[in-house]
Amino acid sequence: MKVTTGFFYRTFLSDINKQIEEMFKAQRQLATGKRVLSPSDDPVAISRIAKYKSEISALDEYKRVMDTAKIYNSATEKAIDDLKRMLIKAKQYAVQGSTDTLSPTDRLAIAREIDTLIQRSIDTANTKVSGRYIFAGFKADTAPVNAQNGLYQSDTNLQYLDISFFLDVAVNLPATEFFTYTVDSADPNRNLKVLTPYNYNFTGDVNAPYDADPLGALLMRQPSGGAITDPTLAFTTNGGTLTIRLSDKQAVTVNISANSSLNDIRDTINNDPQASQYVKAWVVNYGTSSSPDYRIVIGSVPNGKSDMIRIDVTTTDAVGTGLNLLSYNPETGNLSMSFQENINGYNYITDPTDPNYYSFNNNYLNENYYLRALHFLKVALENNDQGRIQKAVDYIDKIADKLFKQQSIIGARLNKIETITDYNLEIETNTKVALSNDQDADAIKVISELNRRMSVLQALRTTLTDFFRSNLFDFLR
Amino acid sequence: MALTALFDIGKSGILTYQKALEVVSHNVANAATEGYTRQDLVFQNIPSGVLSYAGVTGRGVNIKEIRRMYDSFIELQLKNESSRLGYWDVFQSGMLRLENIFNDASDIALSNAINDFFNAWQELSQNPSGIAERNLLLDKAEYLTQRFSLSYRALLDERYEIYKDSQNFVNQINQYLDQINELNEKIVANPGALDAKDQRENIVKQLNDIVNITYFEDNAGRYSILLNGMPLVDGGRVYHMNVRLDGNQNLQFLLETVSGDIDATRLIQGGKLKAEIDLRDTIIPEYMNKLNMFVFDLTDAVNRLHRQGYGLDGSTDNNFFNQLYDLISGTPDITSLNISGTNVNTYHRYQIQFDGTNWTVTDLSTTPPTSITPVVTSWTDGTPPVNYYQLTFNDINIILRNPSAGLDFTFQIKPNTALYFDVAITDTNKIAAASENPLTVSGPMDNRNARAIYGLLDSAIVGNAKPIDFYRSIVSEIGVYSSSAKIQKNFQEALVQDIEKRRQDISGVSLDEEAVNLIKYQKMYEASARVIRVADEILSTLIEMVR
Repeated sequence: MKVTTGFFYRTFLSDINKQIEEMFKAQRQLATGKRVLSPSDDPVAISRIAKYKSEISALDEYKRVMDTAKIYNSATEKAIDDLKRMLIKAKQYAVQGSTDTLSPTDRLAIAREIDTLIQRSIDTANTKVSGRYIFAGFKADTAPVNAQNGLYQSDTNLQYLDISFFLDVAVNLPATEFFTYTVDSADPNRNLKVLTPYNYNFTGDVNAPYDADPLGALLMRQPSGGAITDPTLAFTTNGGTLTIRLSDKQAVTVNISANSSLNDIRDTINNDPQASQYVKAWVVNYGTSSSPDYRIVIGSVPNGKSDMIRIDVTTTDAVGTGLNLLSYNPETGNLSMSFQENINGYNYITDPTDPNYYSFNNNYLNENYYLRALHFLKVALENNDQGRIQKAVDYIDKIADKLFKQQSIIGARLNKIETITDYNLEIETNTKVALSNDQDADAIKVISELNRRMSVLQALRTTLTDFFRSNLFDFLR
Repeated sequence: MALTALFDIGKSGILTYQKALEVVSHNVANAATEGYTRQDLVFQNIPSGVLSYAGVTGRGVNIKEIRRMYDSFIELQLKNESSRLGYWDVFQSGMLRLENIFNDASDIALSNAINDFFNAWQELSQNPSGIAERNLLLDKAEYLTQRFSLSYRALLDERYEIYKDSQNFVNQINQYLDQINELNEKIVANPGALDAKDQRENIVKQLNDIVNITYFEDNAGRYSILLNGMPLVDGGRVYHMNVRLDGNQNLQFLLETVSGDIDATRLIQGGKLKAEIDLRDTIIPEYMNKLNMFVFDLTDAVNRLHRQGYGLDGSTDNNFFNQLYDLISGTPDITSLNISGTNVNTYHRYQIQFDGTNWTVTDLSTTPPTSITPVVTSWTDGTPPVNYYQLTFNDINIILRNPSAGLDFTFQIKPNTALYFDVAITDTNKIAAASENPLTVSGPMDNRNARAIYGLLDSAIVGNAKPIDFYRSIVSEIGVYSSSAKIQKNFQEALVQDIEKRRQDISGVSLDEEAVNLIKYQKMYEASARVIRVADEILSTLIEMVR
């Protein structure tokens, strides 16, 4: 086969070009550090590269989100810690205040300290982190707790952030969980006053909370004939009179007409201009909605002194039925009503749909009412009420428990963030390794490839010049 | 035989070898000429025509013919393969440009813009009332829309460039056709015009590279050039080509015949021009449509959620991106309008009517308007319950909220959708990060809608694929096209080189061979001259003898 000069030349040229082209590519790979320079270099890899890059970009963003979530939750944890410390301080004051040796003036001084604690607690609940109140809901631009009345005024929404492809974490903690009443949205007129004195006189106050005695109230016994399933049916056959007295106050007589139902008795007591100054009556479902058990509960007005109520009954109803069930007189031993402590988890009403559920179960010495507990202690100290001061210690323990619970929730969140940080880090590392495998040039491989091409190119050039240096014409003289 | 015959014999040698040297020199001179065919001499002795008793002697040498060293089969193969190489060459360089538009290997890839856009929502969810976060989101969204318009515009430009290129190609074709016709006539007039043949061969090859043609030689030596059976050059006539854009903005090639112009687009089956047609009217529109679909569905999904959300100022029912379809008439409550694929009917104008039970869909862009039967599904959702109807036809899905009987509306998806892709929100307070009114119901920290929109990154919103997955499938597909085009081109190149080698074996000029021939003919020339000198000497001797 004849190889012509021109063809030889052209083939040579295209061979050199091929080598240079490959070297250029290798050089570009070295310069950019990337193996895949354009989609056609490896269409499968390019698809994966785009996916890996997208994942890494999302992971980077998650990292930022986790930092944000961490900042807010750490701040929350710190704030709860502060609240806890103040509560411990308050408890120490309570213990101190309950000792007999203290004078009323000393107790008044301690009350001032408690007042400071209340204000500091409100300030702590209104902690602001990078412009946001961490104990608020979505309305995080306004202070969640009103510094004047201690009422929670934000919402209860949790703000969640996504911290991985499948997990989210809340970054705020609406203080309702331990700080305030749950206001009944169905009746906003129950303008609950967190910082109400426990001996506040609600009479005549249209916005007064329909609150039961925070300490306890008198609960009617179940009739011997079985539970009352309908409070509108006749309860007393013959009617009679109730003589009600609170502590050393003047006794009040309330006439109950014959065939009155539980509801009628309640209304008669509550509508009596004099009786309603001492006591307040409720009809509550002590059972459940499916098996009702209606009773009358009588509490003192002001709250907190129910155990000082005396109720003497004059009736011709049979013993153990009717009005006889409403007597309460520890001095004479005539006790058919029982005095129920509310604080130790005792709840009159178990059915959350009951209209009085809030009044009884969420009253201000519920474990959720941090401020009310402190306030209760403060008022007790001011009033030199040693018994109440003693009680306050129990309440404060209860609330500390709740705070621990909340702190553990935050701890769980932080733990979750920590775990996901590790997890995301691992995913990121794996993805980056995968990306690097697909995208990055193996420098050693590329350099050796480059060297190989270089020597081939040099050989080509040498042979080319040697070959073309002379042809037959040079030898023809 | 007269003594002077020696002079004639010598002279024939001198003249013949002088011509031979000319041919060798011509070969050497054209050693580098593209498409040059080596010429070779065939010598022939001249018989004397006189018989003597001792036998016959000749009268010298002359040239029987000068041959082109030409193998028509290899030439044909070379033309065919070189035409294919032309196709793949143009196709591959077109794919390279397309790759650059969709290059995701680079750090400024379009997919980064998509990620950044969604990350900005995530950023906003961390601080939904933040002005900085809101501005960042708008920036990222605007960058995203610009990147898409830019890529789309680049594709449009590419189509325009190819149109310009094809005009140049057509001009070149016409020029070649004229030249072939001219050379045809020269060759008919002078059959020995070897170089004219070479030239014509070369032009036919160039023409064949641009557009695949067939040709044959008639008895007189003319080439007839046919384009898939239609004559381009025939019997001294030239039929020129033209290019223009048809109603669908596709390339249309016209052939001027005696009976008027005919559409020759389908006749073009190979060569660079075919690559241009394939690129411009098949490949690029496919990716333009994919970009349109991406933009359209992304806009629909983001807007659908954004309309449900609330801005910081309490505003709701705002679109985040500009609506990418036109409502020509009617006021339907469209919850969602997306496309699961693109086809020729996607950008048509549709009329939708509802009589309370039955739906009628009419395609108004056809003449006459065609009626389409949609697939209808309906469901109720929410409190109070709201009726939803979903209509599916021609890969278009519309979800309508509480349609009333007598509903009648006409809509059209904007053609070149990606060009209209833009952010509708200008006031950062109107970015709906909240699921409920932050002024009255929730609060400025309500980030639920922002999180929902971020969640779109991980939902199948673009033709049943997640946004990034859809986009990367485009990139990967272009990569596959491009790399297979590269392989085809390389293969074709090797093939052409191989045939070229065989052609060179026959038709090429080897300088060494020519050098040998040069010496050979030089020596022959010298020898012939010597013959004349010998004859001269003999004659002198003879004349001396007389004196």
